Amino acid sequence: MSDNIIEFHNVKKSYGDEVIIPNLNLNIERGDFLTIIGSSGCGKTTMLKMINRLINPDEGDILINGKDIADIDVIKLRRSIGYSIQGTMLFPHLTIRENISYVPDLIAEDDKKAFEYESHHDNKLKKIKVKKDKQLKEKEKSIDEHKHEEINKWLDIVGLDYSLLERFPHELSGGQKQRVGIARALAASPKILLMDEPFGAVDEITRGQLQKEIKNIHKKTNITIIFITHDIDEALYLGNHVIVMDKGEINQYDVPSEILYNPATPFVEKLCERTKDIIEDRNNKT
Amino acid sequence: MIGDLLNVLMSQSDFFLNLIIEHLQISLISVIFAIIIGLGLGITVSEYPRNKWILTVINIIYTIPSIALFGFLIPVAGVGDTNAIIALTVYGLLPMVRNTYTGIKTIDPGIIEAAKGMGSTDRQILFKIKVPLALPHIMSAIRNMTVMTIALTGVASFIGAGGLGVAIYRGLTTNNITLVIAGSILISILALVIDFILAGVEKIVAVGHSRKKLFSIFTNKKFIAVLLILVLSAGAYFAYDNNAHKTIHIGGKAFTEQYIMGYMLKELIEDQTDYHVDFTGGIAGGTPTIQGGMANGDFDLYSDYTGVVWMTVLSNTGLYNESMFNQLNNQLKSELNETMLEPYGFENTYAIAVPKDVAEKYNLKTVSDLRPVANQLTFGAESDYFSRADGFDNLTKTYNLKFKDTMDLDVSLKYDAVEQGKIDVVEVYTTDGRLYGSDLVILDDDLNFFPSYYALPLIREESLKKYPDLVPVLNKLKGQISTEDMIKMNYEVDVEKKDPKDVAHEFLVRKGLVSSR
Repeated sequence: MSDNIIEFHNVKKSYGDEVIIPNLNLNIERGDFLTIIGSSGCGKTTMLKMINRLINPDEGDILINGKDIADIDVIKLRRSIGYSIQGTMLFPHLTIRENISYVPDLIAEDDKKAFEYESHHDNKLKKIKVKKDKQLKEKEKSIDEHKHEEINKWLDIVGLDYSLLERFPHELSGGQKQRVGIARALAASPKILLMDEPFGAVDEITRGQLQKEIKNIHKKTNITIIFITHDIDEALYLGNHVIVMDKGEINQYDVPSEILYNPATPFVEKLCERTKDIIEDRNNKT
Repeated sequence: MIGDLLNVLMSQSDFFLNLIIEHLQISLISVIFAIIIGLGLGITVSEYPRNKWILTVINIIYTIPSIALFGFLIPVAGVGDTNAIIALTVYGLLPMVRNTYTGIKTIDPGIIEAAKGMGSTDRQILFKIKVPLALPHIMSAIRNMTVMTIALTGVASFIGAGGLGVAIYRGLTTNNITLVIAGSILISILALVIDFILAGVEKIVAVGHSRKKLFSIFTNKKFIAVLLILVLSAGAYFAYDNNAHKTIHIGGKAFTEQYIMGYMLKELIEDQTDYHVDFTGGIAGGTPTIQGGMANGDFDLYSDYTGVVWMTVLSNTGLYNESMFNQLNNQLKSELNETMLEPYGFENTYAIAVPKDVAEKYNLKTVSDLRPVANQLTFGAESDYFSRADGFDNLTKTYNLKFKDTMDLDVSLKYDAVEQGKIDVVEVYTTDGRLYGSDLVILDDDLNFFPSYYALPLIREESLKKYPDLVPVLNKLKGQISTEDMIKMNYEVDVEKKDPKDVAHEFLVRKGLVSSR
C-alpha cells in the first residue's frame, strides 16, 4: 500500500464561468519531490494554493495524512506547510534573521499566549505567581535558544553566511534572497514544502546552484516538495515525479524518464521535444 | 519695524513664552488625537472596503473652512481649548486616514500573500506586515499634519483658545500691527522647527537599521517605565495645578476696552482672593459666543453693557434706559440664571460728534441743534450703523434730520475722514480712545434716543453661589471708572501701544484698589 501525504478527490474549481480545474484526482507520495509543469493559466498555481487553502475548491476534498484539510484550523495548516513563491517576497522591513524565523516566531507567540492563559487559569486559586513567572521565563529562554539553533541550522542547509543575519533584504543579491526565501519556508520544519516558480527571477547560473541546493535539502530532510515551474528542464531535473498539466487536467503523472521517452499525449511530447533533441545530439556526438 | 518687533518680543517675553507653550500644548494634543483616531480609521477603511464611506465623510469635513468649523462646534464644545482641540483633530484626520489607506493599499500583494500563506492571522498580517510597511507613508502624513495643525492653531484663538493666535487676534482688534507680526512669525518658526525635527524622524523610520534601533528603544521595558512615570507625573501636576486653586474663568470680547476690563478683573480678584483667574480675551462673535460659554459653564463672568443685555442677550425690542435696570436684572436672573452687578461707571454707547470748528460755527450743543443745518453737513459712520435698529434711520427720524450726504466708513478710517474734512458729523463710541486729545465735540442726546450702555460685570448665579466672596470684590469697581478714564485707557492701548494688562494695573494702583507691584 502506498503512503500518500496529500490526496485530491474530485476537486473542481472555477472562477465565474471559467473552469480552471474540471475534476482533479491526485495522490502525492510521502517524501516525494513532485514537479508540476504546464503553460501559464493551466491551473497549476490554483492547485498548489488549494493545498494550503489560499484557494478553496468548489467541489471535492483534499486530504493531508488522510485528514480533510477543510476540517483543519487554517492557521495551523498553513504553519505546518512551507510556502515559497516567485520573487521570494521577503518582508523588506525585517532583518534576514527575523524573516527566517517569521513562522517559528508566530508559533512561539501563540504558544506563549496559550501558556500564559493556561498558567493564569491554573494559578488562579493557588496564587503562586512567582513560580509562574519563573516557568514562563524558562519557557521563553528555551524557546529562544532553540530558535537560535534552528536558524543557524537552516542557514547552513541553504548555504548562507551567518554574517547576513542582521542585514535587510535590500542589501542581499538575488541568489541570496532566494536562499533566505527557502530557509524561511523551511524554518518551522514543515513536512510539506510548496514552491511556486521560486527560481523564476534569478539568472541561469544562480538557478543551477539553487536547483542543486534544493535537491540536497530534499535528500537531507525527507520533506515532501511540490514544485511548480514552467521550465521542462527544471521539472525533469528536480522531480522524482513530474506532472504535466494542461487546461486544468493532468496529461501525465510519471517519473521523468517516462515523461521524456514515453509521452502520454501530444502536448507532453511537444513539451519535451527540444530537451529530447539536445540529449540525442549529445548522445550522437559521444 | 524690526526694532519694534524685537522690542515687543523682549518686553513681553513672559506673555509670548506662555503663548508658545499653550500653542504647543493645543496643537500637540490635537496631533496625538488625530494620529490615534486617524490610524484607527485608516486601518478600518483599508481592511474593510465597505467602510470607504468614512474617507468620503472626512474629505467633506476637510473642505469646511476652519473658522466655520470652529463656529459649528461652539454649541457642542463651547469656547476655548476643548473646541479648538476637537476642530484641529478633525482637520488632522484626513491626511492621516488617506495616507494610512494609501500606505497599506500600495504594499506588494505578493508580500501579503506570502504572509498569509505562511499562516499569519489577519491581525498578525496587519500589525507585523501592513502597518510597519505603511509606516513611511504614515510618518509623512504625521509630519504634514503636524505642521498644518500648528499653523491652524493660530486661528483657534478666534474662539477663545490659547496660543500665539491670541497675540495675532489681539493685535488685529487693538490696532497693533507689531503684535500681529510677532505672533505670525513665532507660529512660522514653531512650525519650521517641528517640521525639521519630524523630517529627522521620517528618515529614521524608513525601512532599515535606524528604524530597528529606534524601535528597540521603545520595546525596552525600562524606557517605557520611565516614559510612563513622566507622563503620569506631568498629568498629576496639571491636575494638581488646576485643582489647587479654584479657577474663575472670565471671558472678554474682541476690542480694546474688553481686554483692559478683563485684565483689571483678573488682577483685582487674584489680589483680593485666593482664586486663580483664567482670562480669555478676544472671543470672536462677541456677546452671543460668550453667552454660550456662560450657559455651559466655560465662563463664570464677563463684562457687558446694559443696552446689549437688553437687546442682544434677552432679545427685547424697544429702547432701553436705566430706569428699567431692575426689571432687566430680574429678567436676566429668571431666563438665564445670570446677574448684573454694580456698573463700573463708564458708558460705551453711541454718540453724535462734530469737530470743534463746526460746533462753533453753527453753535451746536445738542443733537437737536443739528436740525436747521443738517442739509449743509455730511454724516459718516461704519456701514453696520446704517442698518441697526438704534442706527441711522431711526436717529434721523427721531431728530428729524436731513443730511446733505452720508458716507460709509471703516471704523479705523472714521477719525481720519473727520480730520480731512470729508465728514462733518460722525457717529462715535463714547469710550473710543481716539476721542482723547481729538477736537471732536460730543452733542448731547437731548431726546434720549441712544440706548443706555453702562458697563458692568455679568456673573452666573451658580458661580455666585460657589464664590460668594466675589461680589464685594467686584463691587469695589462700582462707579470707579469714568467714561474719561476709559477713553484714556483705550487711548493708551490703541495709540500708545501699551499692554492692556499694564494699563489695567496702573489704573488699579492709581485708584488704590491694589498695591503696586
